[in-house]
Amino acid sequence: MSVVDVHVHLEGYGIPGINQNAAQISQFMRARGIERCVVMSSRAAQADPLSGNRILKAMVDKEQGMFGSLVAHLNRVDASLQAIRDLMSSRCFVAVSLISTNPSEPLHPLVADEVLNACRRYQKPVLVHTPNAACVEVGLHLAKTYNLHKFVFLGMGGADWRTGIAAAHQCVNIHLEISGALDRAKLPAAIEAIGAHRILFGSGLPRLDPVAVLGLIEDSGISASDQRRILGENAVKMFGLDADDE
Amino acid sequence: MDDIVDINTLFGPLPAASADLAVDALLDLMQTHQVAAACTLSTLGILLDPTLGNAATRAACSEQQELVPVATLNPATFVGDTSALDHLVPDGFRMLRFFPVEQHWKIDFAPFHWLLNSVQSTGLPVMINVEGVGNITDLTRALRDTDSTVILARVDRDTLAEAIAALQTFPNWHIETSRLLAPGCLRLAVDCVGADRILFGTGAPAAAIASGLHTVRYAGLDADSVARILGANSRRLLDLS
Repeated sequence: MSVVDVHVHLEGYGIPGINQNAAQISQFMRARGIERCVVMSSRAAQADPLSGNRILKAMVDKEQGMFGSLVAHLNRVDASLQAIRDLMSSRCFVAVSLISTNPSEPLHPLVADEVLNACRRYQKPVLVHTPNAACVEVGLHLAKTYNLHKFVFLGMGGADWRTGIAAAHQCVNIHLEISGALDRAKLPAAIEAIGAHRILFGSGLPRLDPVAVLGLIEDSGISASDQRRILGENAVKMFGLDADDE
Repeated sequence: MDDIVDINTLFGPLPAASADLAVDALLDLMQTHQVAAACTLSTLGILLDPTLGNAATRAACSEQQELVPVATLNPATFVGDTSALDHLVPDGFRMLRFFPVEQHWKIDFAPFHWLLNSVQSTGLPVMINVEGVGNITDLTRALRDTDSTVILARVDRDTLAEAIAALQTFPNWHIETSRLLAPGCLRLAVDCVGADRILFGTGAPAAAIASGLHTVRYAGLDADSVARILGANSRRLLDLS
């Protein structure tokens, strides 16, 4: 079974040996049976969008099975727009991540407009952190406004996962990534509401060890075909990963 | 095969979950993952009334040998009456749990400190949910003059340094693993305080037992440490045969 982790962070973790570079991440993932992953730069999210995304590109270019999500920081719009212009056309970047200074606070829609307009021509999925209901609501607004983009709600609302599912139920261009609260009830509820084809496996590494999220899938009592979709098939299709592997 | 004891399970109604947490769901998960024993309590004791909850816990555990009864108390209603405490050990309870967030009180709360001093006479280990930075430090102040056996539940990567600092000071304190799911955290905890002071817990059946089990097994620990964390430590601490 092909497994793709769509939510991985490069750098920015206090414990060494996990995610300081692409080789570490690859080794860590392979040890857990995860063949491919989509990585975003913590350096770009927390310090410098331009250099962070460039460093990520240099690492991802050399690492088979690893893809980038370009970080666009809404408090560093000029640097983020420059990074989008310079890097977004690269095949190694399969998505764009919208980030603000505090991930637990909602994005500001007016600022996000500027970045999303710059991303229109690339038509790559937009990743949005949604650790709570407030972030989900802003994500829903953006998904409705930019209905030609596919949006991935990272963490699917955290403990407010019902809000995440409700948003995805309202808006067909919203997809849910399942890290966040490891509540056994959420996957069956999400599949019932929106179907397994809009649900993606992700860990938020280093927030969670991917095996913890794999354990959630294992104990959720969902069918083998739904597991296959969530673990890899949906991500391969959404991010065009097979095409990029060739 | 490891002997597994889950020190953190629940059953009963839970608004945060989409359905009631059935005892059968817990037993099914235990069977799937070959968990030999689970320390459990009724959520009624957290959400409504400890007396009701403890009665429900006793009833459930009396029917299932693999379930170990855990009592809960609510400091917000404690005004010095210790008569209920006298029954806990004779009634078979092996541990006490406290839920500050769910019951809307703080660790730095005079009735909690008073109650903690009162429960010392039972000799039961005390497990306290400590989510949020600063709570463990508050707990060290509350318990600085006691030698109670304490288990810090829901320690996560944000509070691990605080927990380790506390365990350096208090030799009878331990860490429960249900929120230690970030890579490297478990290994760091073992390196700093030793495998003997880490106890396997999951929060099942609301949470997945597999999440916790996989995290322990992928933590890069030796087999002896894994065996202690998964079961031997809890058996020793709670005197489980």
